[in-house]
Amino acid sequence: MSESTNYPINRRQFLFHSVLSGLLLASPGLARAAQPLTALAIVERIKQACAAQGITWAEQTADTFKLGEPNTPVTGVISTFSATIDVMQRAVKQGANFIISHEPIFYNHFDDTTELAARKDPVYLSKVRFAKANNLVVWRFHDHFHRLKPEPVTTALYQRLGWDQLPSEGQGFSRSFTHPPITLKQLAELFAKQFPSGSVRYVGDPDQQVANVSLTSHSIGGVISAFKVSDAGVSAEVREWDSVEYTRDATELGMDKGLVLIAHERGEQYGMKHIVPWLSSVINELPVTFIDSHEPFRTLKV
Amino acid sequence: MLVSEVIGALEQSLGEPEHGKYEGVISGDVSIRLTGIATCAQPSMAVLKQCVAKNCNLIIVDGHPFYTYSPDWGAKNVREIVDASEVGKAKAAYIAKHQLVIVRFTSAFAQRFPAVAAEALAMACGFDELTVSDSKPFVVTKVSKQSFDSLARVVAVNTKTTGIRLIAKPELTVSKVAIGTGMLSPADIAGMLSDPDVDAVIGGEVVEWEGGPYFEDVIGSGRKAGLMLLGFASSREPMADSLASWVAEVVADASVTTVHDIDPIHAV
Repeated sequence: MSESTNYPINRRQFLFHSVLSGLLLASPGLARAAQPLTALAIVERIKQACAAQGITWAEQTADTFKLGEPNTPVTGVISTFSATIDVMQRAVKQGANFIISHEPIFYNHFDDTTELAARKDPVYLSKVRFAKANNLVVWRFHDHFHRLKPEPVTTALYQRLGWDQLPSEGQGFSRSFTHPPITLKQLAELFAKQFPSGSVRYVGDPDQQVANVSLTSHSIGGVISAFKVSDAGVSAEVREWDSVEYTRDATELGMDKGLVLIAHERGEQYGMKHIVPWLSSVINELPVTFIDSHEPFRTLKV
Repeated sequence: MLVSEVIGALEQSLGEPEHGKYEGVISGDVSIRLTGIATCAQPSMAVLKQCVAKNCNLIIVDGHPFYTYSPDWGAKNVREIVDASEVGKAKAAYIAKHQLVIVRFTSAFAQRFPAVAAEALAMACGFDELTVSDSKPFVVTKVSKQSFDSLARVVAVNTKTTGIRLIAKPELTVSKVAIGTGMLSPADIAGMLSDPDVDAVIGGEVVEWEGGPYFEDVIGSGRKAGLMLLGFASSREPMADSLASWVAEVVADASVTTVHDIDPIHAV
């Protein structure tokens, strides 16, 4: 299912802004007068908005420019989970040239391109070529995004599930919920329906009763912590050799623990949709649009 | 025969390797007398129980009984976290009670036999005519022209995988497959796709901000290819048989048992 949100500017306003941006770019006199908004200026505003929430900008952070020239005048802003080539193509079709991506652009946490460039990786080169040809700028918003208050990923996730109405303990990712009784398989099916996802999987006894459930981080430590307070953990990506194996052993040992696995993208992308109104309040001259980066996986039932 | 003698012979056959951080003797007293040798992929509780039932007190493993597959991944104190956990304590107690010696040669074995894990998986998938390189951790095979999903179905059934995941357009047609195992990095995937005719890649898992989006961009950049992820455990499971063959060859006068576990992951 594709989901695209444009806030708060409607299609007519979007076209107006696109035409205006085009005029500004084409006419240096007008541009000087109106000072077209650059990607760099937008990022500075985001930093100020974070500071207003008491978030100190980290010196070492993944949240940096990844592609394009920061001083590029922006025609439209995209908020997305992952700036894949497909997302970049859809941004260009919408007339937007500045992408705010939650996840890396170049396939590792700090977007280190040394190895990719050294081996002349054709996928990497293709992505860079496309970005250059379309005057795209890509900036990452990950570390500080998760520090926004309230934390966007879990806020969006709990709202989507209706869990914000359930009795719970803890905050953000460390929140455990008392859930109406449900089996592990039904819990997995709930996520498949609500997100919606074609790749939800689970580890454990499908008939295991679940009355308490927690989100877990990507690490085995998160799964262990979740199992201390809950019958089941739900994770948007784990390493299988640790978290899956740990859960398999918990089940074999009769501990009645289960783990639901959803795609990282499904689990977190709604956070990038959730912050569109906030981004729009920071960037009020331009349309801010959410692009669904689409679930990468699907499972095959055999 | 003492357990230490078997371990010595196996180490010698690998060229006396320096063991990685989470490798070598993981548990047990190597000076005890050998009762039987078992090999496995993931030393899960179910596997350990089978080893005890078969009276095997030396277990040669591919994975790690306490989930620390590689020092390159996860928190530095992951072993401490696991040791302090309910499952970690129960598993350690079971291993101690049954005096199991668990030994792991994974990286040394992979260095000595780079393609063996991939060969084992390819055979389990039902592929027989394999192109194998002495230096690459993957193998390549040709298949009759078919849809990607049709091939995935065959692979899932043959390997008894219940949690297979795909990144591919449903209409994709495939005829040449590169098979690897375990975690596939972007560099691994790039290597497997270096043959322009390869249109299907098989592996275990990917990091979803690394290999996953890399493959999305493989498709986004116009390459007609698909990725099949069997799950880490399922992709390494056939290694249990390869380890058994190797151990049997090195320690000719001991019987070697292969112990398997089922795919722990279920698709909704």
